[in-house]
Amino acid sequence: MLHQNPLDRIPRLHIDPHAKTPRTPYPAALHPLPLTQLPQGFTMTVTRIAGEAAEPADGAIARPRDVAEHIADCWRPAPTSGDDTREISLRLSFSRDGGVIGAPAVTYAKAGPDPVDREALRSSILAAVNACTPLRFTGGLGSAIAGLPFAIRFVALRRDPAFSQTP
Amino acid sequence: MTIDRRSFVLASAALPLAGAAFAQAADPQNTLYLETKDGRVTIRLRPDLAPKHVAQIKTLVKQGFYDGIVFHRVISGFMAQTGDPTGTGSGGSKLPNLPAEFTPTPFKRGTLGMARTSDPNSANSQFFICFGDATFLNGQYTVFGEVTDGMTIVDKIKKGDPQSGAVASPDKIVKLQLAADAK
Repeated sequence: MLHQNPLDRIPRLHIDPHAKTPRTPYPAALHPLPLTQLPQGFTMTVTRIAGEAAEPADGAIARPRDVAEHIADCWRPAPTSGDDTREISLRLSFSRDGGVIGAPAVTYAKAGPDPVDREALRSSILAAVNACTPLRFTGGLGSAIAGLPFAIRFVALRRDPAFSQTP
Repeated sequence: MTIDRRSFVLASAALPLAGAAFAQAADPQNTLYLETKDGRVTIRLRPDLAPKHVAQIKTLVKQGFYDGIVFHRVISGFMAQTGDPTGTGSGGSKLPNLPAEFTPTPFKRGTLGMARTSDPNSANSQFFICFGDATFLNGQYTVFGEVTDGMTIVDKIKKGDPQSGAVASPDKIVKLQLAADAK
């Protein structure tokens, strides 16, 4: 019986030297990371009204999206003094049991020209992470996202006029 | 002993001044002087009713936060509202919002209360002075002070639209200071 060389089962790599698209050194079948593992992590945006309180939902977090929502519910950005919207982006990773791996990195902050405002915004989001973690993941989610980076953009809108203060 | 007319007149004139001096000395740490273009209003703070609100107001006063802020919502017969640096009714300070300190203390002429949104725990820096009795506010808003002198000055604050209270070219707080720090 003729034994087939195992290497013959590897798809041949054909590289077009004139192709303009980026090329990978691996054929798709041999890519070191299966695409389903989302090696780039997660990117998401959550929005809240500045100065409005929210309570984090009870129960274990079962979806990656709810990670951002849960942290945003712990966030207490100070009321805006003008009509500007404030934004801050955070990159962080979680362990299987919901703790933060290392220190969260603030990658972007928009809070007007006043450095005091920017620092207050930065402190408010880091305080939210401290207050909310460790997050409570379902077993499946904890295993799936452990170590993967989350890039979360938090947006604090100014209060709508409907929220005007009155007697 | 005889008292001539001049001495009597001088003594009579001095009595209110002595009273005012006594009022100033009563508790300068819990007395505010609110200056408008028309004169000075004396306000007694009530830490016995709302200790957290009074503490925050005093902190903001010491920062000069209120100086130059307009009375953005003034409704004749009801109240004059101020304390919003944006002048829109939706602004506040950088300090945190305050938990409600509601008491049965009635809202009447000269009462100072804290403005808030529909959330009872959202008072921050905006407050209002009542022109008259406003019993419908009782137990719904935090009372933190009362005008002890100068309501005639408060009455002169420029009024706004009778419904919305929005004021065109509003009057402003020239200066709000603690009596203990007054110069």
